[in-house]
Amino acid sequence: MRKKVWLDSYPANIPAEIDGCPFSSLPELIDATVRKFADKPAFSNLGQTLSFAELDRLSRDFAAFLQGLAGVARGDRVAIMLPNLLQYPVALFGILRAGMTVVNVNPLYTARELRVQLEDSGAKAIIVVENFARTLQEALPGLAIEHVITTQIGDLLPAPKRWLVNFVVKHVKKMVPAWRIDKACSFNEALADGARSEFASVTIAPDDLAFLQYTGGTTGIAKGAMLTHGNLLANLEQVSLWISASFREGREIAIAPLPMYHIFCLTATLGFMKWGSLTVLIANPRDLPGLVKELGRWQFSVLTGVNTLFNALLNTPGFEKLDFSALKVVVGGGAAVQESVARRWQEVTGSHLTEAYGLTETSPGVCCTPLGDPWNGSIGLPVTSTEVSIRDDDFRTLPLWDGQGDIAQHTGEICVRGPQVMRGYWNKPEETAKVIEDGWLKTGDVGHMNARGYITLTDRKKDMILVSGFNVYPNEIENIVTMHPGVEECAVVGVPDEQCGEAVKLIIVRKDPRLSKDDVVKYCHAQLTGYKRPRHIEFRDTLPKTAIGKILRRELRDAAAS
Amino acid sequence: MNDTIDRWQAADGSWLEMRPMRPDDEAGVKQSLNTLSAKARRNRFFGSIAEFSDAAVRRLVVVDLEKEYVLVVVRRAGEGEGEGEGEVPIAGGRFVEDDEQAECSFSLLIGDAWQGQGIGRRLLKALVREASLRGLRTMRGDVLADNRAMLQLARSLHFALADGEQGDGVVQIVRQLPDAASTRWRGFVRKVLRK
Repeated sequence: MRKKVWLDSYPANIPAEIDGCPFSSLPELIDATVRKFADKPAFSNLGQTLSFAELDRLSRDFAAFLQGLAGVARGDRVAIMLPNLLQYPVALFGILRAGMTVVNVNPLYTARELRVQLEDSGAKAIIVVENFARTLQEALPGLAIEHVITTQIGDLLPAPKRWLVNFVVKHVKKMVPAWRIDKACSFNEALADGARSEFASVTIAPDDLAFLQYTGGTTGIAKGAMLTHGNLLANLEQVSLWISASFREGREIAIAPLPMYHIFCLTATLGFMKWGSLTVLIANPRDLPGLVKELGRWQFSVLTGVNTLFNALLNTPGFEKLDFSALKVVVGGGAAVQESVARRWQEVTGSHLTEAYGLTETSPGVCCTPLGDPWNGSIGLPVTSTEVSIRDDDFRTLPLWDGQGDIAQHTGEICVRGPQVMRGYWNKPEETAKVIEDGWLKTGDVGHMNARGYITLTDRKKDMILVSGFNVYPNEIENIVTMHPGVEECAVVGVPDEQCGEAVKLIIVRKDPRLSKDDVVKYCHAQLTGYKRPRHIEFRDTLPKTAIGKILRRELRDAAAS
Repeated sequence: MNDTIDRWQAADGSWLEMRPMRPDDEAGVKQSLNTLSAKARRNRFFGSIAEFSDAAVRRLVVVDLEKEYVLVVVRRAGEGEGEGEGEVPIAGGRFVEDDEQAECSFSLLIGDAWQGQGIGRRLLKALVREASLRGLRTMRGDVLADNRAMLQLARSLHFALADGEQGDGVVQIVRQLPDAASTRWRGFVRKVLRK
């Protein structure tokens, strides 16, 4: 058996293996945490803070409410379609405590994208913020959803702030398109209902499903990664061990600008929560001046983000004046951290940018750079209880890269084994078989490992574009654009982008010469959520093809990049 | 003209015939191409094609006999030997010679309902045989990384990964071809054994 060379590079305080887990499920962890930290602040958003005790009470009420719903049983899927609000952890913990499975949904999805995911998951109930209820309304017909719980932005704020915020959102800013869903009830009604009922505690095993976390995979169709309680418990422990050497229980303040529906934020938040930390949820991270202002209110010690965000913050006036004296850990995930960003971050904040690598399919953490290591272009070492193997296309292990010879002989697909690896894709055994071989998850990312165990990402085997840490699958966009009557054929490639790392470029051969870029933009806008929309659109008379008629995607990409 | 290379019965009882593509296959091929699923189109063409125009179909059907070898598999409704009677193209394969290098590139296309029946195997073997008889030494192919079925078929027919950069979801495969003499000999032995 291959030696785990990375273990020799571990910082002294990081163990090789997780030392067992006292909890069998996330609810058990939640129970223990809320008991231990009862009066401490747990989550803050829009100026309101929930203590652990309040989080306990509200999520328990929500769980009781779910248990009382007709036609919804243990193991059923319940979807959450919310931005970062206090309602999120309440709903999340409520669903898990009721023994049901959470389906996190991007609230900015179009009706089509929403439908695909809800249909595949077979979700029976959904919690949605009013602002997007209209989209849900359009997607609903024919779905298995029997219960819709709507919430307004300010629902968990104290009166009169709640009324004020809800009023402004709806009637002043007009952010709520008219909607009508017959079976809908409000979040606060649901909580009241649950408070009147009896919550029946449920015994959950580590192998039971906690999340169906959707990702496109190599073929772009909706695939729900089945993440068990065991997967999440393991990963939050693995990540926690890596970064929390300096943490003090009940004292840390973590800022969460990334969306809770993204696995990186989800697991990180659960991990911080375990420490009794306060997590400040940022509802709108695109409002950079607002984000800087919010950061100014806290003596924050932990920040998670993505390269694009760190870069944007560094370029926002006022950021450099913030007080970083309490800052202990900054973790960048979702996409590669650029050297220039890491360097400037260090200069401005005095703290290192720790880079993490992972996938939805691995809950997500696989590798992390040691805390305090300066940027070195690597994605770090496999974390505790994690094995990484670099394999060729015949699944043979490749030798470690020692800096000599032909690097191509040492470069292959990054494969992962560990307790954080998903069980498989929901109802897609064929797709699962494509990525899990012999107990190893094939990530579709390509790189090499050196003799010290450090892994460097060099390429991507899967056909995927990473836009600000979000996965975009050319296949999905191509299939949709091809449906437009004016299009004969098209191809989507990723091109480098200063702001987002990569951007989407769409190349079209028109069937109808009158098709304009505007038409395409409008069409994409209706069908695709923001980060998937092509940033560049080009019309061509033909697409470059091989003699055999295959589109030369690489040539398109290289031409686009230059 | 009997240019049939192979003839066999499919699971549904119909007769399948493999032969070189002819110009008058154009109409049938156009119709069959346009019934292909998005996935099949993507696997073959590496992109998304809404509709195969006449020009696109012509490029696929009109063969440069010097540089290309194109086979089609047609399904006959009945058992009759008459040419063109009730023939529906259901699969195809080709190779294109690389100027100057004794190399060629191949591709296959099997209609969605006809996959998994060994048609691809028959086609690829026929392509390999012909390429070898023409004196070509190497056959290459580009396959989407997640096209498992194609990669498995290729592997079973002695294709391996090509050297050099792979990526972007595309895998390049290659195999050396037997020399023409041994291919002719094997063909002869096969014919003799059949008698």
